[in-house]
Amino acid sequence: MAADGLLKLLAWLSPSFPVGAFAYSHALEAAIDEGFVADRASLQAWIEDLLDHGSPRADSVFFMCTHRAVAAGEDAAFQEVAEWAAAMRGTGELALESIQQGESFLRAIGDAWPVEIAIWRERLAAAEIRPAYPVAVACAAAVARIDATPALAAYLHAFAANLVSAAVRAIPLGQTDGQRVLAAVESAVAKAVAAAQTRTLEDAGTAAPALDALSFRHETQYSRLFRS
Amino acid sequence: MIGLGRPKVSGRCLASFLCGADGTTRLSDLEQRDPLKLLFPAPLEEPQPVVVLVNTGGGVVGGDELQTTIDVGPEAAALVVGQAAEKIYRSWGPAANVANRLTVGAGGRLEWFPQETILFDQARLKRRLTVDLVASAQFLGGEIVVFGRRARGETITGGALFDRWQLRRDGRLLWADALIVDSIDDALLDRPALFGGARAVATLVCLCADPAAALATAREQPGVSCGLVGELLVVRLLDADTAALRARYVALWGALRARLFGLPQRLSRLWHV
Repeated sequence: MAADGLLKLLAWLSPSFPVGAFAYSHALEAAIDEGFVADRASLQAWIEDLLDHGSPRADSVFFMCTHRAVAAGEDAAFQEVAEWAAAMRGTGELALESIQQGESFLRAIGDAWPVEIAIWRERLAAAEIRPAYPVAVACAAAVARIDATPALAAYLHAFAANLVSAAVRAIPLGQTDGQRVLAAVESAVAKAVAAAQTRTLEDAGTAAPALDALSFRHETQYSRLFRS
Repeated sequence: MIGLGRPKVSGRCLASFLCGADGTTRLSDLEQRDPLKLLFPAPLEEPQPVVVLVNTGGGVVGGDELQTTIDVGPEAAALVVGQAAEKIYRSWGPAANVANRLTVGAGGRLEWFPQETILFDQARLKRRLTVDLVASAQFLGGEIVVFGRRARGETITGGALFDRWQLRRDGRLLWADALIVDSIDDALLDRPALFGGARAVATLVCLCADPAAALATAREQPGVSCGLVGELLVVRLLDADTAALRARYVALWGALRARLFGLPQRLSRLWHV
């Protein structure tokens, strides 16, 4: 990958990119509240399970399919994956997390970066499909001619890093333990990227109904720092 | 074991309903091919046709292809239930393929409540549920999946599940869900982020004219995790015990149909609890 591709990924998936990632915990706040995640070991297992079987599994498929469609200029394929990615959201808060970040991401790219995504945004708008976050990032990466594999790795790493950041604030967990978890889940990120290579849109799915149930319970949780 | 060695089957059934000028829903089309059959009891308390899904084959084996189509016309209403739990036997070869297609016309209403699907150890199931609604149609339905024959204390050492839902309204994908487990086992089911130790999992959805009332009704029920995704009420129930889950599921279903549709809350004759 060219150096400018790496620099774009570092910028777009950094915690300071204005998508508001810090506001979302992907139901981790409810998991902490109910005692499922309480320390370094349980946090690591939680993130690894989600990378393997949770939303990141489905989102990896949406990411790869979007990248392929945009790179090939296939409008119909792009719309189909975007529609599935927007609809396959287990709960209202998980939908908000993905769609709001996807919209903010495309807006920030369109406003500030010399990456020509306007035509793809117009296609989404014309079809009245709101962009899920993986669709937004994969679309910009493909337009910028950044390979799908490193882009997906960066996307999944950002997901893991955001959960670690949420845990450091919410458990609370020490910064060093947070970094230990992030280092430890590196292999799970790599495994998820590898698994996504051969999957098709039909393979988009999850095996985490307990996570969805937690996310629903988060909606009525007494005290909340996070929007999901 | 039952099911092993039996030739695979290709079953189909279809029932269409239309609303007459007098406002009564009547069966307008019926097709059935073994092992799928449809029965039409007429319980006095139900003001709509009731369809009972029957699999005369006694279970589903790898390679079976089963298709059920229910078509509810404009202003018509129907309730679909299962006669018994659907057993999915072990398969070392291909998965069983089940496709359920439901359509509801303008002002129509469908309730879809098969009984639970029991995945035996090493079962392989691919199931697709497609619900096509027009704007003013209402839908209340759910599915229960049970992992292993719990009464026998069966442990799950393998098997695969692909269970995909798509709900469309006026052709647009409103909500999709896909439960995909490439390799099922007890350790996976025990993970707190995944199945949380449950051996029975239910998903129930409701698209109706009053989503806020649907949500309020569901939240009044004990042990129910639920929320709105857009206008759609989505409920997840998880339990280590199938009977406990069934009891909560039926109570929730009864409360929703009573509150939202003015239908009888009690369902005991159709669904043994």
